[in-house]
Amino acid sequence: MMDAALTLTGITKTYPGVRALDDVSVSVERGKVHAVLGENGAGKSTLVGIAAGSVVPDSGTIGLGGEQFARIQPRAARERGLAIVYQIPALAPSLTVLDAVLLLLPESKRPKRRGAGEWLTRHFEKLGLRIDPAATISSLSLREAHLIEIAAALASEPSVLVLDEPTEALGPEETRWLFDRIEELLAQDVAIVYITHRIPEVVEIATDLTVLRDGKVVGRGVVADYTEDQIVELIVGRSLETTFPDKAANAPEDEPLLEVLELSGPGFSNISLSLLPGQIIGLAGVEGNGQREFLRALGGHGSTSGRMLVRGEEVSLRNPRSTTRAGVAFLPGDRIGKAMFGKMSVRENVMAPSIDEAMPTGFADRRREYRMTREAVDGLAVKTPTLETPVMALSGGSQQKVLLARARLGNPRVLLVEDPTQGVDAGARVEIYAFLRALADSGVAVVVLSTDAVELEGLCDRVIVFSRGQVQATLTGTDVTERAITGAAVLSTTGSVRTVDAVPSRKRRIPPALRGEVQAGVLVFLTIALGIATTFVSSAFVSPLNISQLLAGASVIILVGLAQLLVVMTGGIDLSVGSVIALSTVVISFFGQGGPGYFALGVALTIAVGLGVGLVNGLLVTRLSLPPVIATLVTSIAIVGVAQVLRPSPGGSATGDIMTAIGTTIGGVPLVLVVAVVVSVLIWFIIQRTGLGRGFRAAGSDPVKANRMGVSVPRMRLYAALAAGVLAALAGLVLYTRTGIGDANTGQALTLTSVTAIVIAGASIFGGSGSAIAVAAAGLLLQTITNALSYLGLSLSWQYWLQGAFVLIAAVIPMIARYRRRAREIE
Amino acid sequence: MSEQTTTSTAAPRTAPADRRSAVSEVLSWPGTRALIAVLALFAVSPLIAIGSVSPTAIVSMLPFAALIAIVAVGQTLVIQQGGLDLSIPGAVTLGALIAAKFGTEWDLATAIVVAIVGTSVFGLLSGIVIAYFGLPPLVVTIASNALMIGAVQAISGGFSEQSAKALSDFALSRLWGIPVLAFFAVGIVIIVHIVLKLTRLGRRFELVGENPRSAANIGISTRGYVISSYWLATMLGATTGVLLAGLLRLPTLTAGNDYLLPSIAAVVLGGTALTGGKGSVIGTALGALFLAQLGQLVQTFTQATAVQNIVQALIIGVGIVAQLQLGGSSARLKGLMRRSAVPTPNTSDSMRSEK
Repeated sequence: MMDAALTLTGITKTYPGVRALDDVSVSVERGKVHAVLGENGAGKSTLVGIAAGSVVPDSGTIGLGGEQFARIQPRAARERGLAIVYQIPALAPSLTVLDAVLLLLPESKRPKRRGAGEWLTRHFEKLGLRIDPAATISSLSLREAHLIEIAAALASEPSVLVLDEPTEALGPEETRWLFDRIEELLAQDVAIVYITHRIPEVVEIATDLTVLRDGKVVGRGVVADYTEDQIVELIVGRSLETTFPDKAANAPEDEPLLEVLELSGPGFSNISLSLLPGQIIGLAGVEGNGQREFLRALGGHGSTSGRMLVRGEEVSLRNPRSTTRAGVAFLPGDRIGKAMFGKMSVRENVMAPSIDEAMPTGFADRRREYRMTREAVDGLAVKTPTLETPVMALSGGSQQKVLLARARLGNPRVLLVEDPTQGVDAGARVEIYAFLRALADSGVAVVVLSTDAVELEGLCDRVIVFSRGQVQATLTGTDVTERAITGAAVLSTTGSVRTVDAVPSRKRRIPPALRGEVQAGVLVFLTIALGIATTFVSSAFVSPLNISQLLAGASVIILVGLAQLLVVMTGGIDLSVGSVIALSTVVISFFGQGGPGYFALGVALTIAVGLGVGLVNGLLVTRLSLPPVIATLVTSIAIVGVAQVLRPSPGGSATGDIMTAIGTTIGGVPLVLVVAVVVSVLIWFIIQRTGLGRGFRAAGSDPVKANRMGVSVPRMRLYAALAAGVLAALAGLVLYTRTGIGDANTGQALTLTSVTAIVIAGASIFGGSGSAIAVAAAGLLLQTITNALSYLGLSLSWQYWLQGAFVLIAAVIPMIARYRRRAREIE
Repeated sequence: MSEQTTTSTAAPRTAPADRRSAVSEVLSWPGTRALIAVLALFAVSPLIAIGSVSPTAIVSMLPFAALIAIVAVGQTLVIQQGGLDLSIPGAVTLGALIAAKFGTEWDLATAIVVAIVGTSVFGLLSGIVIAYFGLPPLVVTIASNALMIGAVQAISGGFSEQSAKALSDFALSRLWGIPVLAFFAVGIVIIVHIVLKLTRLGRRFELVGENPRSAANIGISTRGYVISSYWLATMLGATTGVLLAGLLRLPTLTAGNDYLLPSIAAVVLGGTALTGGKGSVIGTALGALFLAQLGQLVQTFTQATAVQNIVQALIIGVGIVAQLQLGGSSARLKGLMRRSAVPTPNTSDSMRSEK
C-alpha cells in the first residue's frame, strides 16, 4: 500500500436516480496490473473516469503522483503521468491523427510541431502500427482509433496506465501485442488499471483485483487466491441458476412466427433465420461485426435487400413505422437517446405507442391513461413515487421496466431488445429476465442482442454468433454456453484481422488540412468569373475606384466572417457581431476629429470595447450556460441601445487627414484589405498548427470527447468569444474607414453576411472545422456580388435572396454528399 | 428519489400513486412561475410608477402583449421541436408589408390571406430543409429570414406603406373596453393549448419534440411535426405582422426586428425548456404579458427607445438566466439554497460518461 501510484478513497458519484459509485476505495500499486471487474453498469467506467478527471465525483479523494485532489482536471491528470484508453476512444472526430496524439500528450512529452509528423510515424513504426498521421479520426475504424489511443498513451510514458475494456475491439493477435506492451511497462514499474469482463485475461495478466457490483466494492484481493468460478460469482452476485428463468420446453410444433430471408444491409449480408413463437434468440459477436446493424434493420433501420415475414406476411423494413404496424417492437440499447422520452412522465412514456387506444374519442382521458399504465407495469415493480414522475429520474432498471411495459402494452408479436440489462442493477436483472421469458411463453418471438455471453447462455434458446457481417455459428440447446459463444466470436476474428499492422491503406482523399484551401480556390475562381461577367455588362466595374471600394468592403466581411468562424468552430454562434460593428463605428467616430495620436487612442478603446462584449458573451455562455444564440441576441440588443444612446443620429465624420491616412492603398490594394488578409493567415495558422487551434477544433467537434482529451471546453468557448469581439470591433473600424461616420443603425445585416461567409467557406456549421483562408475568399466573393448587383441592374433585394439561397445551398450540399457516400458504402 | 441501489429480490410491490398532491402538481406547472412573476410585476408596478396599473395604462399595454403572445406561441412550437426560429423578424415585417400595401390596392381580406399564407411558405421551406437535411435550425432560419427581407425589399422598393383604414380600425377597436387584439391572442393561445394538451396530435407533437429518435422508434413519422412547427411559427409571425400593420398604421420595414428577442424571452419566461418537448403556451402568454408590462414600466422613465432597449435587454437577460438556472427542476432550486452556489455545469458530467 505504501507504494501506491494511484489511490481513490471513499469515492461516491450519483447520477439522477442512480448511485453509480458508493464509497469506493481502490489503491493501485506500481509494477502491477490491477483488474477492476464487474457487470455492465457496475460503475467501472465511472470509477476510472473519476481517476482520469473526465467525471467529477460527489465526494472522495483522488491520490495521484503524491498529491491528493477532491477533483482533478483531465489535463492535470495527464500531466501527472496518468494515461487512459477509453472503452470508446475519446478522440474528437474532426481532428487528424497527429492533432489528436499531440493533444493527448502531456506538455513535457510533446514534440515540436515541426517534425511531429515524422516523430509520430516513427513512433507508430516502433509499435508496429501503420496508420497515416494525416488521416482524419472520423475516417478511421473503431479498432484503429483504439490503437491510436493506446499508442498515444504509450508515447506519454505514463506512471499509471488505465485500460478500459481494451480488448473489446481487438483481435487475438492485437490482444497479444497489447499484453506484450503491458509486460514492458510493468518492467518499468508502471501501475496498470485493467477493466474487463473477460475472466481469462484477468487470470493471465492481473495481480490484484477489485470487484464492483451496483456501485459498491464487493470483493478485493489477490487474483491468485480466486478460481475463475469464484470470480464470476463475485461479479454476478449469485449463482447463475437462480438468476435465469427456465428455458422453453421442447420446441412447440408451430408455424414460424418470424422469418428473415437473406437480409443484407450496411455491415451484414445474407442473414436468414426463423423463429417460433415462444422462443428467445440471442445475437452475439465481437463488437462491430454486424449484429447490431442486423437487429436495427429488423426494427426498420437501414436494410438494403432481403425480406422479413411475420406470421407468413411480408413486412416492409423501410422505416420503423411499418415494422411497428406489423407488431414488431424494438427497444434500442441507447435508452436515453433512442427509446425514452426523458423529461416526460412514466405515464406518457408507457402510453406513447398506444395513444390511439388511450384516446379513443380523440381527446385525452387522464383516468383511462392511469388505468392502462397500471395494467402495463403490473408485476414489474417499477420503483417510482408517482406515475407523473419524469422517467429520467428513475434508476436504470426501472427505466428499462417502463420500456418493457410499454412494449407489452402494444401486444407485440416480435420483441427486439438491444442490451436489455445495460446499466441495470443485479436485482432488476432477474426481474427483466423473468419478464422476457414470460413474454415469450405468452407466444411472442424475442430477439435479444447482448455483449454479455453469460446473459445469452442463461436466457436464450438459440444464439447466433456474427462475424464480419455473417453468421459464424448457430448454437442451440445445450450448446448455448458462455464458452461456446465467446469461443465462436473470438475464433472468428482471427480471419478478419491477421496482424496489427494490416491497416488497409485507404484511398487518399484531399487531406482535411487542405480541403479549406481548395474551397478558397473555388471561391476565388467564382469571384473572378463573376467580375469578368459583370465587366462585360458594364466596364465601369473594373475602374480602379470601384475595385478599391470593393476590396475595402470585402475586408469588413472577411473580418466579421473570421469572428463568426471562431465561435462556430467551437460549437456556438454569435448574433452580436453586427451590433459590435455598429458600436465600434460609433465609438471611433468620437476620435476622428483630433490628431493621429488621439485617433490611435480611439482605435485602442474600440478594440477594448469589442473585447468587453466578447467577455460578456463568453461568460454568459460558459458561466451561466445560456445557449449562445440567446446570450448573443440579448447582448446584441443591449449594445445597439448603447450605440444609439451615444449617437442618436449618424455623425462624427473624420477629418480629411485621417481619412486619407487610413484609406492608404499599397499598389492599388487598400491597407485595410492587407490587414484583413494578414489576420486571416494568422488565424489560419493558429487553427491549423497550434495547440490552441487543436483545442478549438476538438471542443467544437465533440465537447465530451474533447474534455476527456484534456481540452477545457469552456475556456475554448470563452477565448473564441473574446476573439470574435475583437475581430468584430476591427471590422467596425474598417467600416468606419470607408464611411467616415459613426452610425448606430449600420452593421446589422453583417450578422447574416458573417454566417453566409462561413457557410460558403465550407466550415462545418456543427463546429469542429473550417478554414480562415476560405472565409477570406468567401468575403471577397460576397462583396463582389453586392458590388456587381448595381452594375447588373439588380435591386438590393437580390443581395438578401442570394445570401439566403447561398446559405441553404452551401449547407445542403455536404449533406447530400454524405448521403451519397453512405449509399455507396452500403453497396 | 428513494431509489434503492442495494436491491433485494423481494422488492416491495407497493403501487406508486397516480400523481402528487394537487398543490405540488399546480406548483410544478411551468406556467405557475410565470404567473407568479406577472403578479409580482403588477404588484410592484405602482410602487415604481403610480400610473402604470391604471386602466388606461393597461388598456394601452394589452395590444402589445397580445402581439408578443401571438408571435411567441409560434416560437413555442418551434422550441418544443428543439429548434429556434430566427426568421421571426422577416415574417412579421413581410406580413405587415403585404397587408399594408395590398390592403389598399386589393380587397382587404384577400390581402390578409396572402400576407399570412404567402409568408408562411418561407416557414414551410425552413421546416422542410430542417426536417429532411438535418441542418441546424439557426442557420436555416437565418437564411429564410434573409429571403423574406429580400421579398420585403422587392415588394416595398424601400418605402413603407399606409395600411387600410378598416385594418387599423379593427386593430384599435375594443370590446367591453378591452382591446380586441387581446381577445384574439387569448383565442389563439386557448386553441393551441387544447390541441397540444388534449388531443392525440398534441401528445405526439410533444413526444416528437422531446426525443425525435425515440418517437421514430415507436413508429411515429416525425418530419411532419417538425415541418408544421416552422410553418405555423411563420404563419403566426405573419399574423402578428398583419395586426401590427393595423396598430401602427404605417409599419416600418424593420418593424419585425423588435419581435425576435421578446418571442424567445416570452417562451423561456413561460417555462418551456429550450431543449424541446413539453411546452406551455399559457406560460408563454404570461411571459408576453410580463414583457409588455415591463416595456410599459421602462417607458414611464424614459422616452428614448435606445435606453428602453438597453434596460429591457438587461432585464430579459436576467429573467432568462433566472428561469434557466432554476430550470424547472426543484432539485436545482433546493441545491441553490443548500450550497448557495450554482453548480457549475460541466460537459463531462453527463450520463454519457457511463457507457
